[in-house]
Amino acid sequence: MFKHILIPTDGSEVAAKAIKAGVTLAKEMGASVTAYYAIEPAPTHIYGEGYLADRRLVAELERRATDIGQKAVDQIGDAAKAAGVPCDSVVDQRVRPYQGIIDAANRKKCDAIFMASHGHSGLTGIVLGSVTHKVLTNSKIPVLVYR
Amino acid sequence: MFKHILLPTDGSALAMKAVQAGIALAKEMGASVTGYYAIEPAPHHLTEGYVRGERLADELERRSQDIARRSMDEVNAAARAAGVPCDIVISETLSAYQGIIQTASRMKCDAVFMASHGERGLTSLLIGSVTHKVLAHSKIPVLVFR
Repeated sequence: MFKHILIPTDGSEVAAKAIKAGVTLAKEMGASVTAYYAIEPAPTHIYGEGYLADRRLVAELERRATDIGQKAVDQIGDAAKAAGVPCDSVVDQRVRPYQGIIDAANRKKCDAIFMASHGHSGLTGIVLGSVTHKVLTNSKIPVLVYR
Repeated sequence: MFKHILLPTDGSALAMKAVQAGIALAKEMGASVTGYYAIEPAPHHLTEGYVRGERLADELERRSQDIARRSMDEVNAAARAAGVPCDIVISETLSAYQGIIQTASRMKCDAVFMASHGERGLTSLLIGSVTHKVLAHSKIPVLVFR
């Protein structure tokens, strides 16, 4: 039914559970997977317009964020490889992760998004995570909310 | 991955599209489905308010049963055509989302597959209010189809 599933992650444990399930689903359907991680820019007070404009620090933060993003998508890549599911990945810098998710799904021509009901920041909003909620309201393709 | 998928519908065209997709998914996974229709009580002013009349109340009751039955027949027929084992549940519930959650748990479903919105359309945000409440309260995965 689905041929190409986008699995976004924020590297959290909840997301990891959804990854396992998403890869299993892809395997059963003979679908491929695109792993996605959105790097949110550091807050401006760190980034330079505010108190602390240290280029070395900024570069270091960026390097670390890219590292973490890569590790997060690699986790999906490893799970996919173990299951024999074709997988590629996208990591990009996004002010709004939900927009990054929608765009990545679009660009990669995914026909479904599989994601956790919430991630790192947990249930700060209501009972659905805010990124998941925004993806749901803005996506044009089916979204599977895993919990 | 899923063995038993709940397919709630309000009989609207959008919901029935989701039902079709849900059946296709179930078929690929070798899962069974349960079709579900929640009958919400008629508005108060129709039953106990201005137009009190038992005949009218009975008539309304009969019609909502009819509509429920017809949408469930549609689910059944689509599932049968696809060779997917199918059960049907119709229940009266104060709010549709509660009926959906309760039925999923009573029937031991492991996923809910539903449209992003149904008959009432996009009156609130960009996701229907019933779907939103199911998402917020469900303990099992929910696939939102659009």
